[in-house]
Amino acid sequence: MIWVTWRQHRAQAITCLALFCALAVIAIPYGIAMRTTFSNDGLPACLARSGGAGCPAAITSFVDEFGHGAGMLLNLPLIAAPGFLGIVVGAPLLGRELERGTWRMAWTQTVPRTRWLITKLGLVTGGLVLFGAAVTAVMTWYHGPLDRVTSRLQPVPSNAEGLTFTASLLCSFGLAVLAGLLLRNTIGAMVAGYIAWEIPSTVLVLLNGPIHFPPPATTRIPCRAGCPGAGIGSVPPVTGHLGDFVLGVTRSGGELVVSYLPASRFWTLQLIGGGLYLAIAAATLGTAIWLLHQRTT
Amino acid sequence: MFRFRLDGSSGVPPYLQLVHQVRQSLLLGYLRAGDRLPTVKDVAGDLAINPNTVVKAYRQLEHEGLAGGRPGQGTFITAALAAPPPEASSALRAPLEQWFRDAEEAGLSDDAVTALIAVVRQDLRKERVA
Amino acid sequence: MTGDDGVAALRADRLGKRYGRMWALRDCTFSVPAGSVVGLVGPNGAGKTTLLSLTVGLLAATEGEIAVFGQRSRAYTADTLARVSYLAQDHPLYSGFTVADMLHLGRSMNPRWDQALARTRLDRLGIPLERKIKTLSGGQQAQISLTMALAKRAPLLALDEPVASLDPIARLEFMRDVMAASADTGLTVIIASHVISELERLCDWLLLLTAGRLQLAGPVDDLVAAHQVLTVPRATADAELPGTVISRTDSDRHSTVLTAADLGQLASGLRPGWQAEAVSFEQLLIAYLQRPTTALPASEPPDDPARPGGRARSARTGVTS
Repeated sequence: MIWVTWRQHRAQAITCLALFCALAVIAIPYGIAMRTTFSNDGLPACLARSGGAGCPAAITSFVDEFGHGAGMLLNLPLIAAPGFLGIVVGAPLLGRELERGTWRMAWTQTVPRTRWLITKLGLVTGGLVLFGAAVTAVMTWYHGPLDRVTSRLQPVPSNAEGLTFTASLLCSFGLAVLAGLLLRNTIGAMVAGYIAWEIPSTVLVLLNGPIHFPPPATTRIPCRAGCPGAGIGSVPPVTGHLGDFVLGVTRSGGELVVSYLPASRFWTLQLIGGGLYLAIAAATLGTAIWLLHQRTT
Repeated sequence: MFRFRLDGSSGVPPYLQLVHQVRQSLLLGYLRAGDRLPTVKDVAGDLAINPNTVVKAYRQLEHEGLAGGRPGQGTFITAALAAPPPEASSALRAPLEQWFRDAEEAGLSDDAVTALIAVVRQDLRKERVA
Repeated sequence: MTGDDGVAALRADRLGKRYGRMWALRDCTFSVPAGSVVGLVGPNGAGKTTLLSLTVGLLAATEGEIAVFGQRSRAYTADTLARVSYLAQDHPLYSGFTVADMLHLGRSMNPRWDQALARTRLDRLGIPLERKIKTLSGGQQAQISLTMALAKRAPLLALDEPVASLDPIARLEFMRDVMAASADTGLTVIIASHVISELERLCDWLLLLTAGRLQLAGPVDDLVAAHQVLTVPRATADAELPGTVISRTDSDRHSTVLTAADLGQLASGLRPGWQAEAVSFEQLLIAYLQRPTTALPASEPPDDPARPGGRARSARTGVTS
């Protein structure tokens, strides 16, 4: 069963490997260049000493050069990848077997259909987790220096750090697998799976955008000697803590009212987002297994 | 190796066709005592027929004393089938010719003659069985 | 030639399968001896595929049971799957796999796999292992499927209309190999088909289904011997005839009637002027297939018009699987 799963998903596995290599080929040289500039411009020392306040020009030029460069190139694939790859891998798993009638051959060898499905899903999920972890690792490494001068909480797709990339991939996979079982059709399952995946994705975009959950923290900073012309994107952030993501700054009375996401909230948000995706993945895959077990086809 | 043939449209049951072919070959001298008949597997695989049909045919031949199985070795022809002596056939020929002439004179068509022969043969068979 | 120790190769006991409100199979009881080649005959939608699916464990029975070599078939269990080699209609294979890949699949998914047998067969058939399935002809693909089914080494081989899509030569080659395998290993074979002309020389046992009900079940020889074709004067055909009338063809002055009658009934019932002949296998099948849906009197359950699968249903009410 292990060989069979591998052989059936071999082309997909090789494609994922190729995609990962393409990602690495772009990200690694850029990441190295980023790190070189980072140290050459004296940024590590500056950040350690004054939290970035002492070298605004260097920081601005660094962010200008690297914040918008390769990151931009990788944004589109990284937004699309989890949804697209998940459905491409998931939809044919059951969809094509049922569509082409090969289930009559696959489920009449000596492996009962439920065991067949569980083994397949286990192995493919493992492969997807590996892929997701590898992509996350590369992007986390890539983003290292940038994260130190900006924030991990910035909702940029190339910020594929933590759980969300992998969890999102598993979510679209699970939805497509279930769609394949219900619709008995590969293309239909891809479309249905993608549309269904957009629901949690949109929810999370909203939670990271217009509606913040949990609500942003607020702090009031008294202005001394006049309010500094600090804005949203300044480094260090107005809150004085590296890594915070400032959402809004208003003046009120003699104070700056700053609304922001604390750096420490990174994992909370990852667990919310990742948790939502993983819950859907588990529910859909579990339902698919249960339905297959119950059905008489 | 002896090869069988099957005529799907003849209306004769397959096993009887096999028996007939062996009898025919014996009569014509193409099969002799001691010759080995093909295995059940070979015949079934050659003609695409049920192996039990072959077994049935071979058993019938055994019953008629024409063939016998040797355990582990196969089925062998045990006896030659003597062709009827030529004199017997020629002795019967004259009355047969006369009968045909009589039938033609009586106005029987070819088909009527054939039908009559079939009916008489069938009745005689029934008589033998009963 | 069969090591028969009395265990039936395939035994069904009041087997039934319902889809929603539609009965695809109802009240099927039969017992097939080991080593038989069974013809499973019936029009499309009669329940042949359902019966085979129940045998191999692709479906769970709604009522009754079916057992393969003494072991009850239970849906989706490895035990049941191991006893039957199943070759579905259109012999499905993974079209992107190579022949070698398909064999590898067989080896991975079947504990009792005979790789040597598979390789030998493919050698003899001249099919190279590196060819992709989609590049092979229909006949070759059927042979690959058959190879996999035989290499599984199960004691029962179930073929669902295996040659329906093949040309005559491919058909012949396929059936030759099935018969040779049966002769070689005592394999019990059940062939579902609606092409009856080829079944006579293949089958020694018969299951005839129409509209989910078994009309005939038994050894071919016995069934043929249990029927006679009577030619009788027209007037008498309307009067009482020995046995049960299966089919009847009326001409101006005479009728030809197929009856299910044993010799005893026949001997006592025959009158002078009547002609009795044996029926051919093909005639027998056609007569029963054309008959309105009723089973032989002895095995008929009480008819309940309130039952969804009631008698008036035609043979074609949409149950296909």
